Amino acid sequence: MSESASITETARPAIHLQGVQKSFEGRMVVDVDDLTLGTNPIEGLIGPNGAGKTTLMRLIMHSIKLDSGTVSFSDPATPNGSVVLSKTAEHRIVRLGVVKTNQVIQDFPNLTIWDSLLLAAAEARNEQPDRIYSERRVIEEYGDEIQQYLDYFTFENPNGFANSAGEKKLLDTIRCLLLNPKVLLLDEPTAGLPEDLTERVMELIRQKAAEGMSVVIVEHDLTVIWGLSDIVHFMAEGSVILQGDPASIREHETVVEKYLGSGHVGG
Amino acid sequence: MMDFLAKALIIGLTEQAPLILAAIGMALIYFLSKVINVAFAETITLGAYFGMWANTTFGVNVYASMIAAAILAGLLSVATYLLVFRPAHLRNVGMVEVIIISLGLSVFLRHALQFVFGYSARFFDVPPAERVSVLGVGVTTFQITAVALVIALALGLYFFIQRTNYGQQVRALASDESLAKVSGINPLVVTLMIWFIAGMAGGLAGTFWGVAANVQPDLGWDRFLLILLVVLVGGAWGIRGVIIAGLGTGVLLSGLKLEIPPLRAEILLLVAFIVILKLRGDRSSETAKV
Amino acid sequence: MGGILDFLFGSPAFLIFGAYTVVMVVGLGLLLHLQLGLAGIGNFGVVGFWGLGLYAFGVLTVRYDLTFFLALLGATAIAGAAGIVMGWVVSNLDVDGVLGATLSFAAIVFLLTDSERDLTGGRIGLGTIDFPFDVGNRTDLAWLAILVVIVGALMYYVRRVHRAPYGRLLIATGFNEPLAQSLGKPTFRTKMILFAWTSAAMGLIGALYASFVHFLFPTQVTVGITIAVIVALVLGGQQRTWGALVGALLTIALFDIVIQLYVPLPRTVFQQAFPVAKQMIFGLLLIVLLLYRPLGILGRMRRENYVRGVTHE
Repeated sequence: MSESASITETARPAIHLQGVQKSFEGRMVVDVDDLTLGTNPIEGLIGPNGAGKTTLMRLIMHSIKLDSGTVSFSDPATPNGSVVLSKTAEHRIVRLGVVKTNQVIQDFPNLTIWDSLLLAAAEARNEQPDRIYSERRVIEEYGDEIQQYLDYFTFENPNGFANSAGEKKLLDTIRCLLLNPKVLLLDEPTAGLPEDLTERVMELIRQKAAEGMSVVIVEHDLTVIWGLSDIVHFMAEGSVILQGDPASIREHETVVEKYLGSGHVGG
Repeated sequence: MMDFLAKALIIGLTEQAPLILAAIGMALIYFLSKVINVAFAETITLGAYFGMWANTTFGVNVYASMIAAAILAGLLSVATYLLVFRPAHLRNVGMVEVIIISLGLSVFLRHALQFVFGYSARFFDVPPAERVSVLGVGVTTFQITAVALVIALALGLYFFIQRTNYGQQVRALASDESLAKVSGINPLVVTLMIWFIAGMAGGLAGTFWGVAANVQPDLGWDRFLLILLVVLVGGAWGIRGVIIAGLGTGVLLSGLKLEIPPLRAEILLLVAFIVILKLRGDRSSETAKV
Repeated sequence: MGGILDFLFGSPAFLIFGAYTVVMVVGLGLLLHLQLGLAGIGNFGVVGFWGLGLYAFGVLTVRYDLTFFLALLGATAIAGAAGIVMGWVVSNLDVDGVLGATLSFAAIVFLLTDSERDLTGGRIGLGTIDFPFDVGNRTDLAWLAILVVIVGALMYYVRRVHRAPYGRLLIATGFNEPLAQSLGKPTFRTKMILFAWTSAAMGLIGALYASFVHFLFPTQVTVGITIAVIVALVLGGQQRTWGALVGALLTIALFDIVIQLYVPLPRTVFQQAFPVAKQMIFGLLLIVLLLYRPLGILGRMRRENYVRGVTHE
């Protein structure tokens, strides 16, 4: 019962899930038969709590193991065809260009904001035991880009530590952007952010998508979803049961019943 | 072949019954409080010292001194929990740090006891035990007592944890502390009970080893790694697993020592331990947050 | 006590020995600081790698007649090889597993010194291991100076690591490994390689000690070394470059040098009660520190002082 996506531009890097299943303690949490993500610049993933959205993203990143099925990544830029992500270690998946932010706020104790971002940006060749003078090089390469992000988002103490949940969320997002992903999975990136920062995040996502990045965004703040997405996937009880452009999803009975309530009907 | 196996089984069981006792004690603490208590080695050592002290000071027989040892070691165990491990838990000390703290406690006790009991080895004052032949293997009545105690403790614990009210509280506390507290279980009482029982098991083990050889400050520490092996290898399957692992280790060690030089047998066992730990993998990462 | 030169060159042997022990523990402490304080590897088998280097050097020198540098290279390589294997073993184990594996490794090294007594001499001892050069009766002082240079270089290296991308990678791995992985960092490989080369360095330090003490006995390869290093590092501050130095000065220097020199206690007390009391105090220190000031005297790492953003250049 899925309505096909209607927007496809030039071939984009995409993630394919086939027969993917995951259970926790006997309960099936994710059961996705056939899903492709990333063919549109920005795709939304919505659904009630417990629908399995975050678990799905974790399965893609291989930070948890699938019970069955395959997740693969196809990148038209690389000639080798597709890579089976479900057989690849997480850090390699990131190197291939698939990156995810965290729903639950994650941070590095003891690392400053600059530390966090330089960590994300730095390449492996500079992080070797014998490269004890490489910090200068890393700052030369990425300092400007990092400074731009810091200026754009107005951190309270950019030379210190992130001091609120909102700042840590932002830091999470910026770290992932610094990795220059081909497919970016955002898990509730604006949760806990004030209105103006939410706007800025949305604007940034639009820009990156226009530059060629594919974005899949999980959000409970539906104005963000309707405002950004080219298509929306609706997930409930572990499966994607509807797909379509924002307008049709908003009006669909099942979605309204299971999730929206009457607040969002009718545009 | 069967004869060799039977021999190894009997020797393993009788020689290593104290190991199983000690492992049960350490495992109780590991399962409930989630800590590897390195200082449990000293609960064992001090159990031996307490028993020896009761025996040589008051002239009581070995069985009475065992009772004294068990009770005093149990109290010591409870004291270490209240003074060291409970504060650590309440202050949310990290896992590696708790192990280092218990190592510190182990070092402290191992040396503090020397100011009380002296630096050199002490001995129980007991008549040599009668020997009995079991399936062609000579064992002492004392060793048979040890085996009997292991069986009694194992059965007793099984009934206590699986069939009684308190046992249910122990299981609830071990699996989810905050949930247990909300259900009205008093974690302190339950925890003190378990630490006391664990201390008793350790103290008894210490006494057996002390009688069989001598009582010296490194009695428990020398055996700590072996006990840790049994707890970590068998621990995945609860107390039952620990008992089986203890039995298996004892039989394996005794069997190996029949064939190859004893030091090499120990080395081989430790290598096997490392391999098993690698296969065991990471038990802590079941819930991914990233 | 006269001038500094008199102090240095007139000093009794045990002063040099005490100083050597301090510097050696600082060296081992710096390596443990990288493993534990930064990368989060709870290595309880420090004495195993140090002891492997010690005895490997002894065996290569005494039994195989290798020259000093070949034996040193061999001993370091052997410790490094053990470090590669143990690094591979522990880099994806939980805290309990790392404890069990590293303790087992140290015990294996100790057992080997006795079980392979054809090679190692067992309890009779292994020797004589002479200094590779001779400057009269001040050679041990020269050896101390060499160790000071080496440990000094190590300290400089560790200080640079804190200000380098490598240090940041280690800290990220140690403080939130899953998050580091989600940023594409190969944490398993990072930990394994770190463990390998730091173990080689521990072996090197052990090998140098062999020439210093001239005779090797299995009793040198016991947990006392591991504990001394852990106490020094925890007391000084496990997150700080200077932690091991501060801690070693306040423990070993204080006990093995200052108290022995300046506190008038009867000789019998020194023989027996003093070493026992010292260990008691070390044990107590570990408990009290980790309960009430787990980051030691120097406290938490202060990376906000290193921020060199673009605007700061």
